[in-house]
Formats: sequence, C-alpha cells, structure tokens
Amino acid sequence: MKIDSLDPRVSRLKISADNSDFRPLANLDDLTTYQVFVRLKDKRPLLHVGIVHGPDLEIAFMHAKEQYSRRLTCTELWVVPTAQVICSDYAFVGESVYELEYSAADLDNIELPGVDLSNVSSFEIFHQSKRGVQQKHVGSVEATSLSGAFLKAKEAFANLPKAPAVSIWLSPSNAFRKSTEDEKEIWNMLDEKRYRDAIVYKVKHKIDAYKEKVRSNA
Amino acid sequence: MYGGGNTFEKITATKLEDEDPILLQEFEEKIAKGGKIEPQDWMPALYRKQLTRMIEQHAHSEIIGALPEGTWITRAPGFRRKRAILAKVQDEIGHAQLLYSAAETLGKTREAMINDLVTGKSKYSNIFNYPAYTWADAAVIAWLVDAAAIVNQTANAKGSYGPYSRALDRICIEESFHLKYGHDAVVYLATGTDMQRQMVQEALNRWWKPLMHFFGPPDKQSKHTEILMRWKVKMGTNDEMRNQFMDMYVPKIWELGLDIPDAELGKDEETGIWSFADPDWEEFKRVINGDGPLNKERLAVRKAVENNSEWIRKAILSPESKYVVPLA
Repeated sequence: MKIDSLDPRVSRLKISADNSDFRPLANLDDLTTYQVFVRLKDKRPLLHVGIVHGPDLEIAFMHAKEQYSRRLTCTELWVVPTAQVICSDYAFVGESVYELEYSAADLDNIELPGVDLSNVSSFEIFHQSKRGVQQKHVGSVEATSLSGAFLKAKEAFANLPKAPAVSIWLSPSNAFRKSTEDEKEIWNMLDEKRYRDAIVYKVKHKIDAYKEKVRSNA
Repeated sequence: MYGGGNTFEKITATKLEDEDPILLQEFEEKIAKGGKIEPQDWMPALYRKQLTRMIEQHAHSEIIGALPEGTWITRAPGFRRKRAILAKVQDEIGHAQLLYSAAETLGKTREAMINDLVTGKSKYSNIFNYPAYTWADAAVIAWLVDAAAIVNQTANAKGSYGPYSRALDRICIEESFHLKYGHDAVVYLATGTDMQRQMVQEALNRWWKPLMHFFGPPDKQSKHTEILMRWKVKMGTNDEMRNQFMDMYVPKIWELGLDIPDAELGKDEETGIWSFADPDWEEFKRVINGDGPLNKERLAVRKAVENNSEWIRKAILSPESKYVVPLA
C-alpha cells in the first residue's frame, strides 16, 4: 500500500501541498487580547502570567484555564480585557511609581472602552517591583474614578515593605472574570496527571542494568 | 499613563546611526547593568526588528514542531505513551501561544505572523521539515530535539527583553518533562530487543545531521552579531550552543551503546571543544529555502487549519471587538 504522507491529516483530508488557495488572515481573525493572572497557591499573590486571545471574556477564561493552569498548581484564575487595564509609565531610577505626577484631569480623561464608570466601585491594583518580573496583585481600593483609584493606591500601597513599585496596573474590579470558590475543583485532577512531571520518568536503573549486561557479555 | 492597548510606531527602518544617541546610551546602560527592557520602554528599531523576527520564528517552530510528533499520537505504542505524547504536543502549542504573545508586545499582530508563516516569508526551525518514520523517530525528537531547544532557550531566558524571558522561563519548566519523557522512550528502545535497538539507531542516524544544523551554521564574527550580543538579543554564538549540547548529550547517547554517525566526532579535553564532520551546510541552506523533504506539506497543513477554521473565527467574533496590543 502506498501512503501519500506520514501525517494522517494529509492522507485522510487530502490536503493539497499547494498554498495557492490560502486566504490570508485579516485584522481580528485571531480575535482580541485578555490579560491573565494566576494564584499558584493559597495565600500567595495573584501573578500576571501572560495573555490569551478570545472573542469574549468567558471564552477567554476557558482558554486561560487550559493555557495557564494546565501544568502547575493553581487555586485562582482572573482574566480581564487588555483594553480595560490601565498601565502607568515607568518610575525614574530609584524612585517609586507613585512619585510620578499625574493630574486628576489627565487620569480621568483616559478611555476605558466598554467600562461604565457609574457601575464601578473598586479597582484592582498590580505592582511590578522591577523591570523583568511579573506584575503582582497587591490589593484593591474603593474608588469610582481612575484618579481616585491612583490616590487610594498611593495611600495604601506606596509604602509597602520591599522595593518600591516601578510600574502599576489599575483595572475596575468588575471588569474581571474571576474563578469562583466552586470552580476551584477545576484544578483537583492536576494530581492525576503526574505523567506530565519530569520527576516520574526514572531511567537510571535501566541504563545501569544495560551496562551491567554489556560488561558481563564482554 | 495610558489606556490598555498602547500602540507602537510602525516598524521603521531607522538605521542604528540615526537613533537618538542619548536614548541609545540609556538603553545600552540599562542592559549592561543586567536590567530588562519592557514593551513600554524606548528601544532602537533594530532591536525591535531582530527580536520580533527571533521570537516569531521561535513561535512558528513550536506549532510546526508539533506536526511530526502529532502524527504519532494516533499510533503511539500503548496508553501510557499516548497520553504523554498528547500532553507534550499540547504543551508545544501552548508554547507557540506564549511566544506569539511576547512577539505581539513588539507591535506585530498574530495574523501578520501567521500569514508570513504560511506564505513562507518567515522561517521556522529547519529540523521540522524532516519526517518521523517510526516511533523511534518520535522518541529521538522528544529527547534530543527538545534537549537542543532547552540549551537555546535556557540561554535566551537570560536575554534582555522582559516578555520573552518570562515566556521562556515558563517554557523551560514545561519542557523538562519532554526531555525526561523522551529520554525514557529512547532508553526503553535502546535497552530492549535487537530489533528495538536497531530502530533507535536508525532514527538517530536520520536525526543527527538535522540536530547539528539546529544551532545554525558557524558564526561569522560580524558587527551585527556583536551588537545583538551586546543588547542581549543573542546570548551565545551558534558554535557555543552546539558545543554545549554535544558536551551534555553525546556521552548520554554513547552510554546507551548507540553510534553517532560521525567518524570525526571527538572532544579536545584541553579546550573542551568538540570537533565534528561538516554536516552538509549546503543541505541546510537548501532546506531553509524551501526544498526540504516536508516543507510544502508542513505549510499545507497549517494553511488547511487556518482555512478550515475560518467559519469558527467569523462565528464567534463579537462585532464590537477591537484588537488591543498585549501589555506584557
């Protein structure tokens, strides 16, 4: 029997090796972006782990669950549209981001597409302690505007022990899709998938036995 | 401060000598002190361009790299191996997602990257243009191709661009499973029956040359390389990476009584440098330019995936959606 390809997709779907009918992707074919935060263990802060693409918050959440909580431990997952996260400039060397001067008017002029501020009563605050590390959730503040949130964050978090934050992210608390208490069981079966851990593959005894066999045959 | 979805100026061809000297100096000092560059920071156009190209190629290599192993999911010998290779292939696709995201923070959209992949404008790792004939090929890929990738990725994780480093840290953690799983699969065959040993030896013979190609041709010392090393875009020369790979894995191959198909292979104990026969750099060039055993098939599969899923993308897209560049 002759097979066209080792790839079953090619032989069964009769995929042609000619690229002429490729329809180039257009803007938004890969949808838009969402920021993802994960809590690896209880009592540890949520950390920014990356982004996913998606058509809406709920599907982005499902995708984030697969992409970012598939392999390591996880107890909580947050997803938020990138457009609804406000990110500061970087602090000057050796200073805190809260020393940057922003006027209330400037902050309140920033657009938050898809957010109705009249429904917002609190903001989530994230700090980056230095360039290169992940943004870390430090807490939330009660505020109904960006300028209010920045001031409250400054009062609450500017003097945290440890190094000053070099940049912050702010986002309305109700913009997030947060995993619920009930959903925690999503991560219960991680333990049953130990075949994805390097540690379960042990070969030394096989190699030693092989070497012993070769030696005794010599 | 600005809203999510900060935009970047178009990638312009600013020549290095036309960059603002003060900004350039600050940028270089930051890197020299071991600091990272983040998407919101100023960066020279050449840095943005080279990083975009490098991260994008890396992402393409992950999705195309899943194809030769993916063909073995349905045929893996036994349930234990089937679920492991399934999980590994899923990881590779996840890595592509992480890397595309990191490249997007530099201003190139995911759609543009996929288009450039399918039309052949941008490259991926040459090694995935070779076929995996037997299960032993899949085992050799999982062990040695992943080992080679880990050598590269561990070095690049110490590079200067924040989002790429963070993605690589995560990828390296996940790949430690691939490496151990691959080693386990090779050891099983190599310590098995004569026929199993023969299978794995033949697979190694097929993959050795592409493995030597994997790290790229010997470096020419150019001004360009020097700048990329100073900016910590490139973290080691091709030869350094290849030598590190051989130093770590040749002894592990030999201890299984397998032969490496290179009569000139040997290590100079004084310099620590491995010598090896010319792995046919002409073939490397031919394959990278599209004339390998499977270049056309690999891209055809990618094209079919994009074309066949078009209706889903259209169906789920919300009319109000606007693309927003990721923040980090």
